[in-house]
Amino acid sequence: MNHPDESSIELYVLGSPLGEEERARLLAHFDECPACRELYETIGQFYRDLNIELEKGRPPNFYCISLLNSLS
Amino acid sequence: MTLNLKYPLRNLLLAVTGGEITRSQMMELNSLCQGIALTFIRKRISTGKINSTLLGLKDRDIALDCVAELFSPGPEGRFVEFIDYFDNESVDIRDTSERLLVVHLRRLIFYVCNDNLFRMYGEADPSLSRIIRNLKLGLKRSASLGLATKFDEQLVVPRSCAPDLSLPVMPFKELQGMVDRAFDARAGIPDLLEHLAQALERQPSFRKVVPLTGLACCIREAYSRLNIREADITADPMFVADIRTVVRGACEFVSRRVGSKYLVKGKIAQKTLESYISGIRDLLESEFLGRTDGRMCYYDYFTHALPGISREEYTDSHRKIFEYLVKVARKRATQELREL
Repeated sequence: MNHPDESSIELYVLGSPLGEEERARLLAHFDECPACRELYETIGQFYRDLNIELEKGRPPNFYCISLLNSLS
Repeated sequence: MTLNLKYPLRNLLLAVTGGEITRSQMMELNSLCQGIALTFIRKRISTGKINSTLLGLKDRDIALDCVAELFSPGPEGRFVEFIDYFDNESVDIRDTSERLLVVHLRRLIFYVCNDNLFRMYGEADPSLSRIIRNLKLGLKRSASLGLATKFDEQLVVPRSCAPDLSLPVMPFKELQGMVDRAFDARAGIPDLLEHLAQALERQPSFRKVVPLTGLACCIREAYSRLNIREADITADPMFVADIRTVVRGACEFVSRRVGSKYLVKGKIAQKTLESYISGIRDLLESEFLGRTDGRMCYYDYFTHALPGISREEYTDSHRKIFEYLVKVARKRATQELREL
């Protein structure tokens, strides 16, 4: 079985445009390969969690503040 | 899925590698890097792969510690970690898609998180980190097993047979049993890996890949059952010789490529640089061979090499350059050990 590489799966999660045929091939592979499906789900969950974290828009920490001061 | 960013990532990366970054771009990039690190750390805590209690830090503090080095400007005020990563990967930021830049940034952050977690664990749980280091060295040489990174996890994988990824993941209890059966305390890690490779290949029920940290935990458990001090593994002369060679190579690199710039600018004398390098060599050998119990600080190693310097004089005149050279040498040695 030829497994897609990790970058292809990650780019797909990030919405990289794929041709209809390539997309169908990837989805069919996920149906038959639990390891790649797990990887796809793991990467998808990571980016969903990251977006939630980014949406919180936390204020900069002390480290960032001292760095910003050094820039100005 | 797209990331919620105020600026295109390309602009942020061009700004930070080009040395002309605005305050608001820096805030955005810093927040993104911390977000990636925090998400990575939380996942590892929730799956039991990081013991935050052992480290004595909250998830946010661990993430902050991990990414701090990225935002620590080098002596020329350049953000060298970003520059080095994109140079080494031969990525032209201008010609790379936004999505691929996200993938690269994510990889860089995972890389620095793994390195820093390994360092933190080295301080909090030295025996496990020594076993992991010896395992990595053994895997570099093994003809049967190798090391692979799958997104956020390092895995021990077979070199000569299919990993059978359609099978279920091997449960920890099963892995412990396999390690116990393959374990011979007198033989050391290289032999253990060969026995383990055969056992993995023979079993038909589970994937033939195992997590590196899980394997290290099983080995530690096997040693503890036999009441063998894990420090005895570190005394394996093959590993000691490897580590000394790598540390010396890293020190020579630092002396030639980085230290010489300070000499040219007249910031330090040749003799002082030689003493710095001697102190750095002692410090890194202690760290990598696990001979430090955390009580020796940078200043202690520095005064071994340059006796008679007070702490105040060290802080005022030497600390900045010495600690920067330690950082560069440590990074170089870590990379070399990975590539052995």
